Amino acid sequence: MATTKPDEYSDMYFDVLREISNIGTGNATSALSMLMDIDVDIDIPVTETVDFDSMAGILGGKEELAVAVLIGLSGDIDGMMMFLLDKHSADRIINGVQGKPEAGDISEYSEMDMSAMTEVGNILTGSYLAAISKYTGLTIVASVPQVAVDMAGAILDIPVSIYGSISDSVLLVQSKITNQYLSSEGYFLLIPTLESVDKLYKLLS
Amino acid sequence: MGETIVVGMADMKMCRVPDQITTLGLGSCIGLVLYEPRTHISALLHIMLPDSTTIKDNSNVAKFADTAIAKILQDFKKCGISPFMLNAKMAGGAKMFAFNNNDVFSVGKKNADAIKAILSRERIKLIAEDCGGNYGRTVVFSPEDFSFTIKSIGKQPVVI
Repeated sequence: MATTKPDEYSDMYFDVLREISNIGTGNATSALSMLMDIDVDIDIPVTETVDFDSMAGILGGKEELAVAVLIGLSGDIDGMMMFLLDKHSADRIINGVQGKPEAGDISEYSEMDMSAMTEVGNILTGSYLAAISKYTGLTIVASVPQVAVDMAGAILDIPVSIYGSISDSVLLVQSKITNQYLSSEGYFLLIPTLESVDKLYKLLS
Repeated sequence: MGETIVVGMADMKMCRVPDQITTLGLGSCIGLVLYEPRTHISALLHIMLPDSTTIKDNSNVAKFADTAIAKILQDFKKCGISPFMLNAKMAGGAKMFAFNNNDVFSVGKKNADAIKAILSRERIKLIAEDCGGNYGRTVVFSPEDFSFTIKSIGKQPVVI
């Protein structure tokens, strides 16, 4: 790929990600609905490229508390995947899966809360990847998830430092679920290595 | 009281008394301050990656340690300031997720190492640093007293 120009390259990169992200997100959000055992409405996922500096703004600003579940990918696709949401939305989901959807904001996550969030992230990313795997025929192995609760800007340094080598923007897939108790917006970031995108591109085209 | 200048991600700006300069939510990125103690002329750089030479699209010089520092040293030269006259302070370079098996997660340390190597080569004195850990940082530098304040969630602010 040494001959590909950067802008062509990033166009291709984003096209591939957009395509497979749309496949993954629908599957993941229905998994969440089942997990929480409540009826939820799932909006059609919105895929957009966002430049680095305004990305944290989506979560309320660079210093806003954000929650991220990150898993490493190996097998036919190398890279990582992040499920990212603002603290308020994360609180709703953590309460929801623990059967107390009416509970309010959580001041500090207990071990149980962190474990619930990890599990939610695991299931969501797992079903997202399963859909991609089924569609492409590729084997994708996911690592044990890691959760971080910190400033949005700091958490986003990880995807940014990977995308940073080809572009000044990141592809975000926004999925929104709502029901009577909660309105949670979560973002999926699929971050394959450049080599893996080549592989995906060849498969999809 | 002056204004507070905000430096974005992969961005850099100069600052003079009485203004302050800040950058928000550093994770693996590094906030590097360079200042000349006599004139108090200062700069804050938000550096994202260690090395531009291994990267396909390296047009944004502020993104990389090597090109960002080279550019800001040129700007200091325009003010009559040579690299050896500068002092430095730096913060950031955290490892936000506890993965061990992937190179990407050590980008914070690589950033810090790359910056230190360049500072040493340019004979710029590194006065203080607060790097590493697994948490995000917001930093504010005051050119007036050269204080570099580091704020993190759930922690007392640190001044270096």
